[in-house]
Amino acid sequence: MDILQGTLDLLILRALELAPMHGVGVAARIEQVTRGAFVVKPGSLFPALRRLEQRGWIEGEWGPSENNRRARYYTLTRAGRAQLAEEKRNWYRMTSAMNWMLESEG
Amino acid sequence: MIRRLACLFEYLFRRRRLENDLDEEVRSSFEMMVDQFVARGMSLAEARRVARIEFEGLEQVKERVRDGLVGSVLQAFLQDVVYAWRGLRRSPSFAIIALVTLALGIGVNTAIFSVFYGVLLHPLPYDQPGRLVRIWASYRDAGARAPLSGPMLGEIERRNRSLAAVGAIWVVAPRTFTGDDPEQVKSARVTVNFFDVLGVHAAHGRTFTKEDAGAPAVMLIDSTFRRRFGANPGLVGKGLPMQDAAATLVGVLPAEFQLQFAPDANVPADKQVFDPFGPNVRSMSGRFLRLVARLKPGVTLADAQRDLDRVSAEVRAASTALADNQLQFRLAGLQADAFGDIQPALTALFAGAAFVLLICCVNVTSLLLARASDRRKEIALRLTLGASRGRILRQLLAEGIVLCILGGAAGIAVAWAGFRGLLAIRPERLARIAGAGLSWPVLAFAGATSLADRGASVGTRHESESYELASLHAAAPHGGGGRYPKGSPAARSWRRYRRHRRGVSLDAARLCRAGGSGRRSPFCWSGAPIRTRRVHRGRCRSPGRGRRVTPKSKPISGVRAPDSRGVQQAAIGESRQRFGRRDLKHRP
Repeated sequence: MDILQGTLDLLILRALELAPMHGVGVAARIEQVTRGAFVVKPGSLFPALRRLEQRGWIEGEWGPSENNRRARYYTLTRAGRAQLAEEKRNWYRMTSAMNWMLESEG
Repeated sequence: MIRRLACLFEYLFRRRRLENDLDEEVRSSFEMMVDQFVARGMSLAEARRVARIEFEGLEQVKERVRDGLVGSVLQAFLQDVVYAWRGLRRSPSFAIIALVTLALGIGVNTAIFSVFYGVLLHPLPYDQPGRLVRIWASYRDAGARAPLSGPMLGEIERRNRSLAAVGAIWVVAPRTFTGDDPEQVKSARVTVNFFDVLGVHAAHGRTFTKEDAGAPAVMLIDSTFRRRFGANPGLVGKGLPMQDAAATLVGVLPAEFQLQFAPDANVPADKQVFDPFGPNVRSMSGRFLRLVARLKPGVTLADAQRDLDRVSAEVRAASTALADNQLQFRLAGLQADAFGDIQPALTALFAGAAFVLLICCVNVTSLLLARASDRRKEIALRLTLGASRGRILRQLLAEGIVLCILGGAAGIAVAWAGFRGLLAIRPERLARIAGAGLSWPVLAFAGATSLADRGASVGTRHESESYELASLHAAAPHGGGGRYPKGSPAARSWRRYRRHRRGVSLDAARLCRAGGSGRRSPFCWSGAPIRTRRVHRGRCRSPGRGRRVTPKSKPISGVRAPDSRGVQQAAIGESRQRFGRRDLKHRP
């Protein structure tokens, strides 16, 4: 399934809410949690990570990975948490609006 | 905002670290992905292959990250500018022609407009010059632009309701400074309020007051005060030795002070010494006073003219002689009156210069279009390498900007030289231009016009179309225009494009030139669809020796026949340029 325009940020922020992760981990987490519905390709993932970092919502730091490779771990910042809450609210507003429309009778 | 600036700073000055981080992150992610696949039981080679497919190219991923960074637009623009600069250096003849054209357009325009502005638009060096007017008298026996007599000045002062003050000036015989080095100076006599009416304040001392009326007092212009008296402020208030009698120097006029009168007022701008009329000026008969008045605040020229019409009617009612002579007072803005005689000539000159700029822009645009079509292969290559259309258009715009900056710099040189030249040959009437100087806003305007022209041409359909076609080229064998498979969509589209491009750019150039010369434009390309068909020489058999029919006539008559598919006109041509080969064209 294609990722809806503008929701990639929300997916990444949500994935990072639980624990700091590196890029491949973020992609794997999204794929796993959505049961394979959303596959984030590196071509979208890395630009998005950089963008979020530049906005100050996440912070990257080098650390060792499971297989002892150097990996860049991303942590959600305070601003990032606020942004996540805001985007969640927007998302729920939008989905409920969509649902009302789709499930309306007559 | 601060955060974005910080990012921009980081991007611009810590590029290397960002690049290293990016490179390492992408590579280690790739390796991690390989590890994952190996862990799922793939061989290392297989895992790398699959990971590569997943990644869609390490370099491409990095490029997409770079594109998304704050500052990447700036970086790309700088890159474009550098690239454009190299491109220009690679084709010096094109660059020189384009630059010379732009420099001429911008330079000539700026120089001429500087004169135009300096003379007609630059406000006179007086206080609120828009409220200053000249008053002329109109008599049956002296025409519409006659000076006024002292009593008339008195009548106007007494009866008007729209003028704040009225001053008068007249030229008197030259006076002589005596002393070791006697010198004759040009003199004018003014009413004591003359400088107050103009709103001119003395640079040293004061201007005339009522008490000076008829007294031996003088004012000097700045240049004479400097040259003859060494600009010694101690002299103000002292007597200057003069031929008739010593005169008190009450004040010195500011350096920018200039008299501005129309030639037929006969008040030349070169007066050096001013002295005051006596109190009896309003009883001096003879028409000799040149009147300058200041409108009351908020009063328009038309209001004041109506007011003076009333005044002249009252004066005529009081005097049968003046009634017989059909006295009327006429008002004109001081600046409009002073330069009314040269305004049409200057306006025409300026319009001509504007057309030069327009034609220059069109020529440079045509040049760039021609160059763009020569660069099909280069552009096709960049498209193939993954450049977006926007990126290529941006690059062309950057080229335009580089051209305009260089052209603008050369334009400044031309404008400066042209302006110096005009100053050197300036007639006395245009003395004002020296004070105004080169008009920088106009220079900016001319530069912006040529830039906008370039921007517009990038935005036009036919130029952007050429890049779509360039992408066709990228796919075409040998990358050549004439080498598409015959009848293929690419070949058709290529032909359509060539026709369109030439038609539009030629038309634009013709329109400008014809418009400039005031003629109707002889368009060669009207926009109606033109079909072409190739005619083979072999089909036009010549019926024997001595009766050679030109190979053209037969097929043409065939096409012209009334039944031939709605053809309006048909013609045959050999123009390789426009139709590629020996083609028959007809218009459905």
